[in-house]
Amino acid sequence: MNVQTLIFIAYFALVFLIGYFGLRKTDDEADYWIAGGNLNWLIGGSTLAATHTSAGTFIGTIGVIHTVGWSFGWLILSIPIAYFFMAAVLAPRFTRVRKLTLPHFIEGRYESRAARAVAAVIILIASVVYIQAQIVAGGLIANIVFGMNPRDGMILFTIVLIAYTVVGGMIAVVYTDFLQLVIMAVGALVAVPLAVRHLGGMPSLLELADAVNPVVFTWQGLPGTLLFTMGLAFMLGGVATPEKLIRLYAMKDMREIRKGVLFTIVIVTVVNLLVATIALTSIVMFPRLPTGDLAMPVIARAVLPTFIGALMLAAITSAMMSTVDSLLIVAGSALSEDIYQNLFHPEATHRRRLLIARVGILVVGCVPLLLTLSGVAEGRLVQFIVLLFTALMASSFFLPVVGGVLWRRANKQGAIAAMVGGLTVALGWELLGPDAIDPVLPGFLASAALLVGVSLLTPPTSQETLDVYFD
Amino acid sequence: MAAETGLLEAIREAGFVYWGLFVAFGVILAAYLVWMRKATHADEEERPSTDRTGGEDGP
Repeated sequence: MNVQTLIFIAYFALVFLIGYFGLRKTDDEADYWIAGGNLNWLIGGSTLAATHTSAGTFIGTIGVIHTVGWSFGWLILSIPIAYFFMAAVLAPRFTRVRKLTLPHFIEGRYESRAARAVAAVIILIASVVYIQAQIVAGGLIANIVFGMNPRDGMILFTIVLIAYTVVGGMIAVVYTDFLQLVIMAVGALVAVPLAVRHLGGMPSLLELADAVNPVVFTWQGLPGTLLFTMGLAFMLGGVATPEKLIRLYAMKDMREIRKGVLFTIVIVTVVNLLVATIALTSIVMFPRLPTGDLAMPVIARAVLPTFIGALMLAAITSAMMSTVDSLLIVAGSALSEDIYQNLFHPEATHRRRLLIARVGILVVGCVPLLLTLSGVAEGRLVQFIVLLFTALMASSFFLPVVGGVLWRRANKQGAIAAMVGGLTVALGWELLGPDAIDPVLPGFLASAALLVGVSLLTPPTSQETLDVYFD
Repeated sequence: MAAETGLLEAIREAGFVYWGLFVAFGVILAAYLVWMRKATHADEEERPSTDRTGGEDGP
């Protein structure tokens, strides 16, 4: 058994151990969905950072920079901007009343169980897209590490993930996220200097990258409109994705949230900048890969020393798993709390709801696997699947959530229209619109027009509810 | 010295597209730190006044 396999077996064993710890610690639904709502900044910030960092970072960003050049790296700035907005503007109002799920917040703010159910359905649809991207990347890694067929790798990856998430809930997820973040940060911090040194240092790397691909340090790799609208998608989606918003409820108070978000900004941005630098080394060393998504695994395997390479591959796996487990929790809660209990069985017992949630997580985890195995999204760069998820979330939730805490006149009819309209227009644009503009722009504009127009034409929310969210 | 000269040369050649990203991140981070300090300060100023109100209204 080689070092790589040993490291992976040790890593999976530790993750299962944490899953068991989560099971022992879970007493009620608040524990299962928001880890009791009592996390400090370090654990809260770590779970937020780990959830943000996905295959999109370690496979996707590198893949796109390898393909189109450094201009894509500028989208990394959407991370600190989005989290700054989240901490300064959204969080103080959003966390005034603590809920268990994002759709639960929508119901509370808009006094509408229908709005809650709509939000839950959108989360389920978008989660399938995102989990698919991570599963595709999981197959690539399993192929590199274990020499497995990528399809078998995808199945193994999905089974491991579903197992510890179903068993341990959010407590297991936040502590595995912490472990996974440490592995990611250490992996990136150690791998980048080694990869850069391999090419003679930073000045030499920049020179070589420019020589191999003269477009790399220009703005010509992507159309300007696409770059701008992709940045918009990352920024709006960074604020409005439910798996991130729910982590604000999981932290103890605003003081912890501010510090936790600072931690997230620093870690996630630095890891992304390091990863983008690795992309430059891949341009120099492997300019003709069949797909840019292979750049990181190939560097880990061919350039880094065996132990560091294995650590880097474990870091990529950690990034994928920490994102999918969070998505599974959000999707499971959407099914059990926001659809099953909200619409069909308001009197369902706590045990019954947890059972439904666990079955839901199982189902939501398997659907993207089945879609991927049947060839849906085959051949797409991982980052572009991630971007589609981000665009769908931003088009559906940004305005109902942010508008909900900043604009008193926003009401349930406006919120439902904005969610459904934003999602539909974004999806329609993805299928039929021109490629030079990301679907988030038309989706966001449609959502804005519908929220404002429909809200103004229908009765406002009651004063009693508004008093909770506005001074 | 040679490495430093090489680095400066590389900065000039790679130009704004490469290094500007790092500078921009530094600016955003600094803005966040300033805001966080102000917000924490505001929290601390608010706390004693809440305690006083509680004291006056309490039994």
